[in-house]
Amino acid sequence: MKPFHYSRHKLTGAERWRERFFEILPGFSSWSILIGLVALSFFQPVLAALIIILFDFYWLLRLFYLTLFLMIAYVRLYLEGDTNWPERIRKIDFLRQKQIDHNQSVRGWKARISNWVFRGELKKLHTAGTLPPLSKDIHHLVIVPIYKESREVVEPGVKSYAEGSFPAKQILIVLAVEERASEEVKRAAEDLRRKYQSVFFDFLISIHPDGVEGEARVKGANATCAARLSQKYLNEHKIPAENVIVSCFDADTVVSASYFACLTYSFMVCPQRERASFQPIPVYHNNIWDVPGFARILEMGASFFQLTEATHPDRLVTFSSHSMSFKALVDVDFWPIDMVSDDSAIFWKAFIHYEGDYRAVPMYVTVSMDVVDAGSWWQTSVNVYKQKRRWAWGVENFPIVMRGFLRSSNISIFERFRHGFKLFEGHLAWATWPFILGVMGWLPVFFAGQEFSDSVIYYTAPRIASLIFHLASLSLVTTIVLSLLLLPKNKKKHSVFRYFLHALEWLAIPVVAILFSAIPALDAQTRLMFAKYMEFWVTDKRRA
Amino acid sequence: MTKILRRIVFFFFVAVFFIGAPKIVFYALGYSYRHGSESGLVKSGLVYLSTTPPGATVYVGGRRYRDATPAIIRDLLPGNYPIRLVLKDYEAWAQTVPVEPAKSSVLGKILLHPKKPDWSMRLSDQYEDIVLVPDTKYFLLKKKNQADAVQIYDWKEKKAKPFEDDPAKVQSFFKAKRSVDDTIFLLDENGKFSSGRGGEVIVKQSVLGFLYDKKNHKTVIWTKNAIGLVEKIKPKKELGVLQGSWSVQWVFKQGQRISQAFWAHDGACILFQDQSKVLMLELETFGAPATYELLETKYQSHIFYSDESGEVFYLDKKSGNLMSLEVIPKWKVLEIPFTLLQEKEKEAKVARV
Repeated sequence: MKPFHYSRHKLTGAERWRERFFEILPGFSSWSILIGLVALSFFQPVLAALIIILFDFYWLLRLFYLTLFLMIAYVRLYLEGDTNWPERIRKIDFLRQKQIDHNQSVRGWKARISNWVFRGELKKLHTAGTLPPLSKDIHHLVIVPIYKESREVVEPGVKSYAEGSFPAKQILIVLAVEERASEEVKRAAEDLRRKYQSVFFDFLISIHPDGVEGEARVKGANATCAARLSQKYLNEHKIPAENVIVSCFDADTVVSASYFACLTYSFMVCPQRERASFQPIPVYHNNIWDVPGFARILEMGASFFQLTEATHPDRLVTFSSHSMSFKALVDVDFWPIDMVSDDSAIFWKAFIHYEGDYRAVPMYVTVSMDVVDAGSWWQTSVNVYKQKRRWAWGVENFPIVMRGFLRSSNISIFERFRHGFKLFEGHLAWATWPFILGVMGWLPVFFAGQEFSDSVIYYTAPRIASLIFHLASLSLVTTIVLSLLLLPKNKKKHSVFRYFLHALEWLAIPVVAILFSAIPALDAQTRLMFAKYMEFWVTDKRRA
Repeated sequence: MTKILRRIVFFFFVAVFFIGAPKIVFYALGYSYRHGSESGLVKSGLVYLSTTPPGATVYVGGRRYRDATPAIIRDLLPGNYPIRLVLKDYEAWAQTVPVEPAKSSVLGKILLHPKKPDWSMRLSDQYEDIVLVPDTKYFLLKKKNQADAVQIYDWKEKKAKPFEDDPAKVQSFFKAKRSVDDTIFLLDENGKFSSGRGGEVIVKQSVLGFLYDKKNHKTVIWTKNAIGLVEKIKPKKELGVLQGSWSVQWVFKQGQRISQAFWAHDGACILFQDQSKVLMLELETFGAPATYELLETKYQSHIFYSDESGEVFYLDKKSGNLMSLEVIPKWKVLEIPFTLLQEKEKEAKVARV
């Protein structure tokens, strides 16, 4: 059987029709839900009110469920905050060398819990019998695609890779520059190479030629070009792909000091390390205080979503900056070169390639990126909208994944249904929930005729909705507290008043969710529905 | 977190949903569980009470209800409930309210009457009459046999100024304004009241005036002895011809010489003048509309009322001074909750008199 073609292009016959059907399905479903609810509110207000009440109740339970796991994930992030990852790596090396580590002393309750988790992971690794290579043999390949980003945006990231607790001499940096990038960007890349080459194992610059046949103007094409160059380089240096972990970072990604150590540990301790991606918690702290409030809470929301997802490894999908086994990347023939959402696409491509034997492993360590900032409030709003639409364009994976699932016989029906439904429901919720919660809920009352306004439900429905929203505020308060706890502590000192204002910003979430989450998602799904495919749009990021 | 624990939490939430959802649906639809020997699900109704001013204590069948107005009394089994509202410095309000299964009985604009009316003297001169200038913030005050026989009174600013123009022009202006309502209804010199478009005769004769409430699409008409509400009904076809799309519900018939009427309290009341008495007719009721006297005005003089100010302006019975009485305490009118903003005016079941 021919390997699955993870692309919407060059399809023929039934495959093309299947692709179009699944391209239409999310947008059609979202619009049907929204229009259907409006029509139902007008013609059958009692039924509409009942549906909305049930939905509100379902949403409340989902919210509590997510908040519970958000708290658990935050506690885990907090517990692992002081973990000595190099020490852990050393212990796994001991295991590999069949030596006994006599240094067992653990102090403090945080360390005890963390150590308990560690022992469990070691036990799993031991049971699986797939011992990892020694840490000294493991190399990191970091690919940073660049197009418009200035040196001020890129350098803090490169610096953070060098200053971590994992030896920089085992890290190979590749700045993947687009050929069409300006001379200034190319010069900056060269300057960085000169400055940092001696710090790392090596520092390469790849130039991705413009207009290659079969490629779209997307980040994945640039990253793939760099990965192919790196493959040659690693072969020349006789470094096996099995011992390489590749990280594809946005240009503004600044990793925490323990990132590469934690990644190395996660790679070593994972029994199926060659069939795994490693997902850190993305936070947007680089310029968090310099952007409008709505952009701040949106990115906080994205971080929280990823934190919650981290507690469900069996359904975790890679997002934004992440890492993976280089062998897996080579096996699946690198990132898609014609898709915008390369971050999640690479997971699904590997998942289908390995017939479901692929996973995303959560890492309780952060990578920090920039919040979109275009200078002015209005331009930032426009750019945030475009960025969210690009994220929502991840819906382009749905038709391809569904085709892959239909073709696959080795992935269980349950797994196919579970992943397919989650992907579909996730995009549907993204586009419709804020509308249903913020607008649709009021429509039956708005359109109320005499008959409906005489009914009990006309009075009970708003009461029930009000109770549900009051209960939901418990989640909001939890979210506000966690957002304050997650904020960077050492960069700038801000007054209590500033923190108070930040907390108040969360009250705008219903409006922000409609304008910068639901509408961009609906926009993306509608474009896919009408086959108006998107290309990559580089987000403006500035440093003050 | 182990997979098992995650599953336990997941199924716990699923169970909560499947147990809670039917309960919520039943509650929303007005079902409640009846305990005791006849236990089981019963379809209940509710009563919604909102007063001006708010905060009145609610007694249902003699028992104090936990919430003050505005209040929703739910889970009521079908039947008639004596309801009493009590607020300090206001007259108690009492009525029997019928409750039907899965229906709401709405009394959303109950006007409580103060024990001590709030009169104010506005102008101390002696006036003969008040002349209305509709759709403006003015009315005219007429004096007898004086150089400045007419004054303009700004009822929003509560200020008077001399009117130097010819009073006849004022009358013509008054008539011109009336024509706005004439596009909907027509009233001829013989008191024939008919619809403006179809020309359907609604009342053949004796109608003295009418007032259309644009906001609530309600119309009140009055004759010498009666006050009626003009209602649109579904036309019936008899012998292939559409018959009667309008009807009049006479809600007050004991008048002596009714000369004026105004919509008050957002269409929930009618304020009218009968001879020298000014009365309020309350329509927000499930029984017969209640009428009570507000004041007495100077013989053969008119009054002015605007729902915007909530005050009725009149001439003192003895002195002829311009007085005002606050009928609707505007600062005490409750902001209607959002969910009720769009409420269609509940057509209170006003019994025919």
